[in-house]
Order: sequence, then structure tokens, then C-alpha cells
Amino acid sequence: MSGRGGLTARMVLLGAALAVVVGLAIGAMLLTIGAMRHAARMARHSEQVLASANRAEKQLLDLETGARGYALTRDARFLAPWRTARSTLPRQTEGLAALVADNPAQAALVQQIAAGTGAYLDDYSTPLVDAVRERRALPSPTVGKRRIDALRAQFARFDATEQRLADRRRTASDHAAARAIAVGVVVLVAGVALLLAFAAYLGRSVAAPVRRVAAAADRLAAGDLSARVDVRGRDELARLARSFNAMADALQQGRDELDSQHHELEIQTAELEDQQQQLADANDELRAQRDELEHITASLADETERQRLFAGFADALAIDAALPDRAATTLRALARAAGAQVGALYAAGGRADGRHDLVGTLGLDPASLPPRLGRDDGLPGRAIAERETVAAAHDETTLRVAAFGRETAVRQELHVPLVYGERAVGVASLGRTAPGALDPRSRELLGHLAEMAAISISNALATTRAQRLGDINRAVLDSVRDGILMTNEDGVVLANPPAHRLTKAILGVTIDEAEPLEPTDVAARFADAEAFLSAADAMAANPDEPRFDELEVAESGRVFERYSAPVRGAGGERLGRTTVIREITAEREAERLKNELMATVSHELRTPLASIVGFTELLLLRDPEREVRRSHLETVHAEARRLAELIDDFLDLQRLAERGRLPLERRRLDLRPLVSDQARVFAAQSGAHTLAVRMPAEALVTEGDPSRIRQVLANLLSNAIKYSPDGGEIGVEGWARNGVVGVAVKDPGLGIPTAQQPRVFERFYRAPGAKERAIGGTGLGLALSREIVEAHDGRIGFESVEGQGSRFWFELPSTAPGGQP
Amino acid sequence: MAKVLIADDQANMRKLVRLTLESGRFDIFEAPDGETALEVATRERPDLVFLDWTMPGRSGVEVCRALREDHGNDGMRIVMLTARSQPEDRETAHEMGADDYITKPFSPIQLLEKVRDVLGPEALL
Repeated sequence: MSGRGGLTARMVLLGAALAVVVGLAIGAMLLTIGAMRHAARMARHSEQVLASANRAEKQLLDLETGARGYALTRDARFLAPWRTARSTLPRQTEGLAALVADNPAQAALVQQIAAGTGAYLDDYSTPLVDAVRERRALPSPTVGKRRIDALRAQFARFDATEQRLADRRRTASDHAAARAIAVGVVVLVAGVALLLAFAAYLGRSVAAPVRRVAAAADRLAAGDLSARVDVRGRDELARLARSFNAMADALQQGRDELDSQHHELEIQTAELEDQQQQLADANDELRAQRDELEHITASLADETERQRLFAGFADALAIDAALPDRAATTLRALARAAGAQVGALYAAGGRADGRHDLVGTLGLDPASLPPRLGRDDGLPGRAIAERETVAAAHDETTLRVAAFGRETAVRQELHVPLVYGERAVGVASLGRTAPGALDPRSRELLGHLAEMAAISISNALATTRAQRLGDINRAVLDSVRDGILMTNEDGVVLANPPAHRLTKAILGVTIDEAEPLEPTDVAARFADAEAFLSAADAMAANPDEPRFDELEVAESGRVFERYSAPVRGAGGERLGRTTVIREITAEREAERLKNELMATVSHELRTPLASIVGFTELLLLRDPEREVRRSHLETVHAEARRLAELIDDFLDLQRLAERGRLPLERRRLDLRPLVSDQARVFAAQSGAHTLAVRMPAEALVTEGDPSRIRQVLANLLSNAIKYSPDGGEIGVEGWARNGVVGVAVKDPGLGIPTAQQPRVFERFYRAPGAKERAIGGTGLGLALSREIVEAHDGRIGFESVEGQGSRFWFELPSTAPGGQP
Repeated sequence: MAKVLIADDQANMRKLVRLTLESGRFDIFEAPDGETALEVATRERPDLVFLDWTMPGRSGVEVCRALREDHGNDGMRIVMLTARSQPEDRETAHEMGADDYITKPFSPIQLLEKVRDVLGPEALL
């Protein structure tokens, strides 16, 4: 840049010249001020010298006056300034000598004064004080005075010289000050002049071009882009002008571009506005959607709350399985949904009349409510019948119920039927203490909860019914006499108490102990082990076939009937097998006895019949003589009578079995002739036995049926003979005492074992050995005899010792002879 | 003459059998009980014995068995004459050695036919 040297170089040269001029002026001024300061210092030095000389002179006078005062007065007070002066005066003179060391003349004078002073002290003043102290002769005062004066003259000379020196120095100082002022004024004036000249130059060569540029810039700023600056010279300002012009050109170009961009921007703005409108529209739509979403969210929250309520209700229902618990849970949930404070729940009792039972209350005393509800009982009945919720509003005073421990006004009643399928399984009656109808949402919620409750209550009712049925089944099973078992692959799944008892009786072990046993293990228990095993095999081979078996336990002789059949479920699937076990020992024994009886009866009937048939045939075949014929006919007659009596015995017993009581034709009678007649009949029947009859003299009178009493006597006598197979004496005696009449028949026969004695009067009972010994008889005689005696309000009994015979007796109420019973 | 023993505790029965057999030529012996029947049979060695079952002392089948145990009675024919009519009674009697079995009541003709079967037709002549 060639132009740079121009303006800048000129400025530097001008500045440098100005600095040199000002520096020279200030240098001259500083020199002048230095000279002035030296002069002033020298003047001040002279004054210090004078002051020091004065202090030394004064101390010299203190020496003189102190010593002379002491000499005159001998007063020690005068010695104080003396001592002070004596010690400080040498230092004072030494200081003075140091001050004037630069001035040889004055220094020499100080040396003289110091020497004179030392001499004065040593030669006069000190000896004077010592003399006074020692009271010696005093030196002459004039000597001292003289010496002091000499010294004071020296001081005066020194002071005068120094005074002159000081005056001279003060004058030199004043001149120096005046010179310094003059130099300062000249420098100031020259400096101002130079600065003014510099400023003028700057204004001409820099400010004017800058102003032009500024004016052009103002025009530019105002928007006139055509503003340009004249370019003069080649210095920095010219460059500035060129730069400005270039900038203006650039600006002009830029604005043209901006104009085109602006146009483009306007088009874009229009487009943007269009888009903004579209955005606003979209925004509106979004807002609408958001509102809708908020609505949906609110509904969802509401629905969630309802679902939570449902879930809580369902959970509670699941936990409370029993009807009363479910009823309480249901009432709480429904009351909450309905905002009710009191309530009652009735559930279908499953009865034919369709009545509902009170199963739960909320805030109410159950005793204050009807325990049952008919189909048409009031509003709840209507709710059940119509399967619709029935609501009723009350004035505050209309309906008051005892709840929460006091009387409360119910303002609204709601009777919500619990409908399951087509059936109302219950009704929840709810009472609200707040007035006004329920809002529709709560009503809807209540409806949903009621549906759930209906299912739950229905389930609980079904469960209750099933439990009741189960209880009944169990009770039935427990109440039967037969042992009932159900078995499947898992073993015994059901066994009623008799089953346990009978198992123990049959197998000798409990069911649990028996379960692991194999058929072969238990077969040995039975009289017919083979039959048991083949039955087990058959059952295994044909599991679908029912089976009947009879099992006789070898050890005890007890007989059991076993019925076993497959158990099938509703779908026909096999669930297992039922086994019914019944003890039939008594039945088998009864059957055996019956068979024996039939054989006996047959035998007993055939024996007289044989005579009848045989003799009548002989009569028919041979047509014998009259005597023979008569004898035959008598035999036939007697045997026919015996046959008739036997038949009567059977019939009597049959009648007893049917009616329980024998018909009697009672009349007053004496037992003695009855006894004698029968004894005679039986005595004739057996040659091996003799009958010894001992009757009292007085009559044995009673009210009785003679044919029946004859039957008893015949039976006792017949037994006595039959059971005394070896013959002997049969004793018959009669008595009357203590209001009874009695007869006893004593035999020397087989007797009855003690163990058998209680059974003697049982029907069809026959003494052991009777059959083996071929002792005839039906086993009915004693049973019938007892019936007859007891029908007469009498009693019958016996004493017997096995192998020694028996004594059978009976007693009847006595009637005094000739008197009334 | 064939010997016939009638053992029955019922006098009427003994009489009936005796009367029935009177038409033939028999020596007839009677016994009212089992002991007597054995005693008479052992002594007389009858050709034919009618035994009632139900008798005091030893029963008919016991007597029958006892008779069969005695080889002296090997030719003896024994007929049970009893009111017991069960099939098992017949079996028991057969096992005990009875040759025949007649149940009461019986017809005298039936009895005679049985005697003829057992002893041969000449016995009745």
C-alpha cells in the first residue's frame, strides 16, 4: 500500500517534533528547579549550623553560671545544669564540626572553639567545682570570665561568618526560583502554540475527507444507495472513500438481490399463511379428538372403578362359599352401589310354594323382619314376581326402621330381584336414608351386581342343596344296618359304619388293614375258601355283572350275604363297585329252624296219619269182625284227635303270630280235676314212666279257659316223658298260696344246659340232642304254654340241672272258692 | 317161615304192621325202642326188619348201622318205616345200610308189595 506512508508518516513526524520541543522545555525547567532546590537547601543548612552554634554557646554559659553559682552558694542545685552541660558540650561541638565539614574555614574555627571549651573545663571549671566541694582556695573568677569571653568571641565570629554565608545562599535561592518561573512560562507558551498548529493541520487534512465520507454514509443510511465519495490523493482517506464506494456498490447490488428475495419471500409467506390455515384446521380437529379422548378416558376410569367393584365383589363371593356369608357380601355390595344403609336379602328356599327365606340383613335386626316371603308379599314379592327392580319413595315420617341402634327414616326403598336365567333366586330389599331417586349409572351398576349376586346365590343354594343331599345320603348310609362299601382302583372310597363293623367281624381286621390283602390271604377265613376264591375270580372276569355270594366265616360260624354290583355315573362310565354286606346268620338260622320245623311238623302229622290211613285201609281191605273193626276205629279216632290237636297248636301259634293274643273263654274252675285227667292220659302212653300226682285237699280255683289250661298241662307232661328217655317217676304237685294257684311237673330226665335255658320258651326251640335222640315235638309246646299262662295273667318258669332233670311250673291268679275273682 | 322184626315206639304202628303181615306166614317180633330192637335182632336174626327212625333210646338209623356192623346179619333185609320224608333222610338211611325206605303214612298193600320185593314172592304164600 503506497498510500499508507502519507498521512500516518506526517502525523508521526509532527508528533515527534512536538515531543522534542516540549521535552527540551521541560528539561530546561527541571535544571532551573534543581538549581533552585540546591540553593534553598544550602540556605537551610546555614540556619541549622547557626542554631547548633547557639545551643553550644548556651551550654558554655550554663557551665560558667553553674560553676560560679555553686562556688558562691555551695548550693548543689547549681551543679545540675553544670553537669548536663559538661557531658553534652563535647557532643555539641562535634556535631557542629560535622555540619561545617564542607567549609574548611568554619571547620577550623569550630576546632578552636572545641579545644578552648575543653581547656576551659579541664583547667578552670572542673577544678573550681572540686575546690568548692573540697573547700579549697578558689581560682580567680576573672580567669574564668576572661576565658569565657574569649570563647564567646569565637562563637560570635563563627556566627557572623555563617550568617553571611546564609544570606548569600538565600539570595542565590531566590534567583534560581525566578529563573525557574521564567523558563516555565516560556515552555508553556511554546507548547500551546505547537498544539494549536497541530490541531489546525489535522482539521484540514483528516476531518474534511472524513466528513465527506460521513455525509455519503448518512445518505446511504437514509436509503440513497447512489451516494458516492470523490476520491482524492492516495492516502488512507482515499482508500476509505474507495472502500466506501465499493461498499455502496455492494449494498446496491445486495438490495437488488434483496428485492428479488423479498418478492420470493412474499410468495412463500402467502404459501405459509395457507399452510397455517390448514394447521389451524387440523388443530381444531385435534382438539375435538382430545375432548373425545378425555371423555373416553373418564368413561374408562369410571368403567375401571366399576370393574374393580365387580372384581372385588366376585372375589368376596368366591371366598364366602356358604349362603349366609354370600348373602352378607351381596348385601354390602348392593347397598354400596345403591347408596343404601339398610337392607335384607331373601333367597329361594327351593320349596314348591316358591317362598323365599330371609338369609341376611344389613343394619337391621333379623327378628324384626318376616322370616319368609311369599311370591305376592308386598314390594319385594312384586320384584320377585315381575323380575324387575321396584322402587318406592317415602316421606320422612312414613317409614321408620330400627337400624344403627336407633330409629331411622327410610326415604327410598329399592327391591332388586336376583334373577338367574328365568328364575328369581332372591330379592335384595335396600333402604336409603337419603331422599331422591338413584341416578341411572348407579341403577345400571346395581343391575350388574344383582346379576352377579344372582349367579352366586344360585350357586350357594345349589351347594346348600347338594350339601343337604350329601348329608341325607350319608345319613341314609349310616342309618342302614347293612354294610355298604364303594371301591375303585384307588381302594375303598366309601364305607359306612356297619361296613367297618362287618369287615372286622368277617376278616378280623379293619378295612384299612384289609385293603392290601389278596383274595388268597383272606380266603382261609371262610368255611368255603374255594367258593370265595372262585367268586373273586368271577368278579374280576366280569366286572359289569352284579353278584350275590354267601360267605360263612369258619371261625365264628356267622354267615354274611355279599351283594356286589358295578356303580355307573350319569354318563354310563364305571365309577367302581358297590358291595353291600349283610349278616344273615339269624336268617340262615331261622331258615334252618323253619326247615327243621317243616320236617318236624311233617313228621308229627304223618305219625298219627299213618295210623289213620293204615287202619282205615285194613278195614276197607279185610272187612274184619265187629270187635276188631271197633278197635281199629278207636285207634283211628284217637289218632285223628291227636292230629287235630297238633293242627290246633300250629294254628294257635299262627294266630298268636298274627294277633299277639290268644282268645280265651275264661270261667271259674278247679285245677285239680284237669291235672288228674291229663296225668291219667299220659300215664297210659308210657310204660317206662310212673306218674306221682300230689294235690292239696282244697280246690285250686282260678278263672281260666279249661281247654287252654289242659293244653299247658299236656305239654308239660309230654315234655317230662319225652326228655326222660330212661323212664322214671314224673312228679306232679299243686298248691295255693299268696293269692296264686300253681302246678309243677318234675322229671328225672336230661335237664337243660345252663347256656340254653334262656331260649327254652322261644318258638321252635328244641332241646339240644332232641333231634339226635329222635325226641319228637314241634318246638312249639312251651312257647304256646307261655302265651296261654301269660294270657291268664299268670307266669311260667322252670328249674333245671343238666343231666338231673327239670321242674316246670306255672301259677295263675287264685279265686277264693265260691267267691268272686 | 321168615322172621320179621317190627321196631316202633308207637304201639299202634306195631299193631298195624303186624295186622298187615298176618295174611302171610311170618314169625313176627316187636320192639318198642332201639335197644330192644338190637337185642331181638341179634338173638333172632330176622330176615326182615322194619325200623322206625324216631324212637326213645337209640334211633332207627343207629340201630340199622349197628346191625350192619355185625356180619351175622349179612343176609338181613332192613326197611326204614318212618314219618321222616326228606330226601336227605332217605340218603342217610341208605348210607347206614337200609335196603328200602317207606314213609308214613303208608298203605298196607304198599307194605306187602315191599315185603314181596325184599323177601321174594314166596314169603307171602
